[in-house]
Amino acid sequence: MTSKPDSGPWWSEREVAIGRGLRWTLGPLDLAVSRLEHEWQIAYGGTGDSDADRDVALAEPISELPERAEVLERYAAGGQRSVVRCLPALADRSVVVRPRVPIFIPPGERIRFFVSSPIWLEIEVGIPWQALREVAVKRQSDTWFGSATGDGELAYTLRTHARVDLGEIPLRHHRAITPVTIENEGEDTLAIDRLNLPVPFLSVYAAGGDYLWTQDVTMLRREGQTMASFEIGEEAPREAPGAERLTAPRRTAEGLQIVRAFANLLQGLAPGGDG
Amino acid sequence: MSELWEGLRQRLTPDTLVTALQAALLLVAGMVVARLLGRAVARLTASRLERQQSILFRRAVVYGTFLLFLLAALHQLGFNLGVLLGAAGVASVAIGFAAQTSASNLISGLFLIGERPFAIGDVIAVGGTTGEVLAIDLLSLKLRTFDNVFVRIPNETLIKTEVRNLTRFPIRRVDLAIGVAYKEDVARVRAILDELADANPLCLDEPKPQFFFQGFGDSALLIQYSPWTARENYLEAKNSLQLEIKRRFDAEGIEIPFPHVSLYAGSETAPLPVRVVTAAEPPAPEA
Repeated sequence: MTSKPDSGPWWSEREVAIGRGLRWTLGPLDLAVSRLEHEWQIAYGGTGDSDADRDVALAEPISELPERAEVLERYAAGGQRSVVRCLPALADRSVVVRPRVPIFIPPGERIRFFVSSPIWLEIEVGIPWQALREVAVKRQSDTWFGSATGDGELAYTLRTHARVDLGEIPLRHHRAITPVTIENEGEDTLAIDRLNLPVPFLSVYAAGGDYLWTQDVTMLRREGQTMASFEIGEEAPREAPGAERLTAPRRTAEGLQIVRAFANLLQGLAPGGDG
Repeated sequence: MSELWEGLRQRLTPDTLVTALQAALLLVAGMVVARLLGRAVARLTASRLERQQSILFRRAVVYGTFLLFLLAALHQLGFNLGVLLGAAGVASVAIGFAAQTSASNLISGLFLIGERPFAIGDVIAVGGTTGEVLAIDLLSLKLRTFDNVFVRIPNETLIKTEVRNLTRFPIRRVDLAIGVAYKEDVARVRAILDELADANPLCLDEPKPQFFFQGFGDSALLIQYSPWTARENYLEAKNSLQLEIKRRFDAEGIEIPFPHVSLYAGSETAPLPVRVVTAAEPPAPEA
């Protein structure tokens, strides 16, 4: 399902002659670039596939842009830039993870589960590299994460099964997997109905089979807090041995960070709980 | 004429020339010092105060400093400042009566700048006018409406009336008024609306869309459906949702009724006679 082995993975750079182009098909996204004498053209849109989350990652040369694209844009570029690449990146805002079934963590317990979030693509031409456009593989729904409608932050919604067993996760090339560990050091049960995952702080790694990963995220909840201190792993998780870093994080976090991680509503509400 | 000239010549002694020169120097020095102080104040307040407040503060410092130097220069020329200030007091009462509206606007402007209900760049609605704030001045507020019209609103009006700031909070609720026919199942309508809002990426997942069954209208069941969206997507979300609702209701066969009237002639009366007229048979002219 992945790109042809002789041309490298889909994110590797490729030389494009004038009048030629390149087309990527990544999950639900169909993206094409074309090089002309003094400009690059980018066209993209949905594949129109009924199974929007099917696993496909292709990069193939084309001679002209697809006729019916939802968006077509032209970018001025000097004749020197003849190489194009399309790098995977993470969303530009935090992602609010909503487990399909709420997870409860009793005091002193911890859980490690996997979240796979749709990636964004950064189209760059070079060399020297010049970023032209960012496109989300799948436009995620907006959401608000905060205690009131006037206090909080805009984020993207991500519904997940929050699987704890890696073998159960359907691997897809257009998603990046983040292992999330949550430790509850409070005295009451922590209900995870919604979890704010700050993906702009994470890097993207590629491991075996061209699947994408991010670092481990560990969240520590102390007593009576909706805020959590989170720690980001130094490198790719242990499930992705020999991973290579493809993209740097959008924002950098140094040391331990505090985020509003858990929604207020279900804070401490547990079956049989009294708080 | 020659007497006047003679008088002037007698007064223009080297001493008075020196005094006049000193006064002029004081004025020039005042201008320079005021400008320098103004710049320093602007730099100091730029990061601590809002732009509007910083500008106001700077103006106050510049004009205040210059006024002090002007008074010193007048004193140098031999004017009696006590008399001058007394005259200024009388004059200010007179000016106060004459320029009552301007003074009221000026004080309202100071309150507005202190209260900060909106900032430059916000979109506000005052009375029937909605637009982007271009400037908050001492006497008036300048707006640019969405049809690109420049509107000046006196500060006094802003203090007295309701001002709605549409861009204060990052998210907004989109209120959609929907009417469906009496025969429709409201629960099904609600399920369809929820599905549409869920599928539209501009509608926020949280807070959940609100559903209000407003009541039984003349010709429709009145529903208000209110999803949330990021403030910059407000119009796009409203447009796209209404289009999707219309399309989906048409596809599902849910009727959006327009006002209709049932004619009732009473139980005692005979039915209204109705005659179908075809094109081939033109109606007979009334007698």
